[in-house]
Amino acid sequence: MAKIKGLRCRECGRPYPAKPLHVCEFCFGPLEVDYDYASLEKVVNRKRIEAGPPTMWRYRDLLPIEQEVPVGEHCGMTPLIRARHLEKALGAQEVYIKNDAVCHPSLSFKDRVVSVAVTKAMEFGFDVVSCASTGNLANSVAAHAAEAGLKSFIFVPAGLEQGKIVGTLIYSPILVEVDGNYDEVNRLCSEIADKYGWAFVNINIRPYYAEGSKTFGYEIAEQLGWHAPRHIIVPSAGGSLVTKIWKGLKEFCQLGLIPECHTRMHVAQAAGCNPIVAAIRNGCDTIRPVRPDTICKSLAIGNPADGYYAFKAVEESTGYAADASDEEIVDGMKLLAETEGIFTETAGGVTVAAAKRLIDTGVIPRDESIVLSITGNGLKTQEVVFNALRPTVSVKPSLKSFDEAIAERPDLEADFISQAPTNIQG
Amino acid sequence: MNEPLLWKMSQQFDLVFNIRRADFTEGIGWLMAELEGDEKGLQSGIRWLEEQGVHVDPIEQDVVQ
Repeated sequence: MAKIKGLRCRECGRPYPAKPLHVCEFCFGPLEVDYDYASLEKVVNRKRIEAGPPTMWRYRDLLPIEQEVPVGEHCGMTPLIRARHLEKALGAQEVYIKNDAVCHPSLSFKDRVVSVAVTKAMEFGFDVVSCASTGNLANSVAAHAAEAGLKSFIFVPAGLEQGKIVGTLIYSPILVEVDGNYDEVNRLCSEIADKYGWAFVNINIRPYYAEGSKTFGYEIAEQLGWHAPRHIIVPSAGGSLVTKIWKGLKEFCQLGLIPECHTRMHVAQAAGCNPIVAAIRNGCDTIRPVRPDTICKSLAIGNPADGYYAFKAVEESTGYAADASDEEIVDGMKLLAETEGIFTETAGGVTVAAAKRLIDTGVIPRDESIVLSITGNGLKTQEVVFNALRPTVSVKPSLKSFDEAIAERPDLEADFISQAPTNIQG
Repeated sequence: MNEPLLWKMSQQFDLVFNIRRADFTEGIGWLMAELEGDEKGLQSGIRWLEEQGVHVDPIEQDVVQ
């Protein structure tokens, strides 16, 4: 089945062949994969998807790859859990966590887009894959390149969290730390992409790469029993994820896989880098670039490439937006860990904080279903929470030392010791 | 907004511009344009635009993710 017709400009609609292209040469608009939905409608159904593998590749009919065995074969189908303790903390009645903090292999949602992009890069015959990254994408490209036996060049801004550097270098890519701000890294990588014939997953492979994000939305709908939730809160950097989740839900509706698509999409950003949130608040679809200043480096993109389309997804779905201060981000990370046992990175803290804000301000009614998108793992950004955690208790190996140490910590007395059962027999 | 910045840049640095898309509202706007000229003129012209307060990006926009 020829499921895609080629690429098409999102602005002027001009068709292009399915090649490593990303910009319309006529209007400079972004190119997008153009599916043959009429053919897809005849073959795609719930039964066919349910019979597929327990990974995001169960949706391969709706992804732009041809290769039989994709790179990143075990990616996706991450847990969607009912967050009953978090519900109480947020004062809401039906909250779910879509947990891509455990996405395979590199513990972030970027594995979804990269598995599609690297598979496509192999189909095109590239032998070097590359990306510019704030960390998660670097981890994922390096891991998938290793799996595929391809060489990889990874560009990151200097000063990333150690977990993200180590989580990239372990796969032995060429890691280039650029001593410059985000704008300068952007410009450098655009020039490199122009000059070298590499598959830059988020530049010349971007139309295919971005499609991987749709699976995050597909999985939510399938895991909710083939229903879309009323609200999805999505952390946003470049703005692609919220756009593609929305596209995925609309595709499911169009193909008759879910009865309706009444989901309101909400954008979450750090207050120190909130160009999309600001545009939504102001009701103006022109994104005003900002200079990022936040602990949430994975969302620190001041001039989001898909900001306009993220704005449109929110507008079309009648969603809204919220941002979070650095302190609220850390509180959000701790709240999720303490209530649900899920350790997310800073972007997840942004999502939890945004959920609290949207619920408290009445934007999201307390009795409607809400999905929080947790897109990355906290082990990668330990530095930001370390000083906000309960200090360890250091003791000598004796009961006396333990008793003395506990006596010096009134916080432990209140939280643990006074609640201990008293009828334990030795 | 009130000044013909592209025209001035074009004259000063001997560059040819071709606007492909644009959107302006009160207070803010953007445009996508192709610039042609020698390398030195292009670099100087872009630097001059930035000095006038214009944010200039290559057509890929943000590629860091």
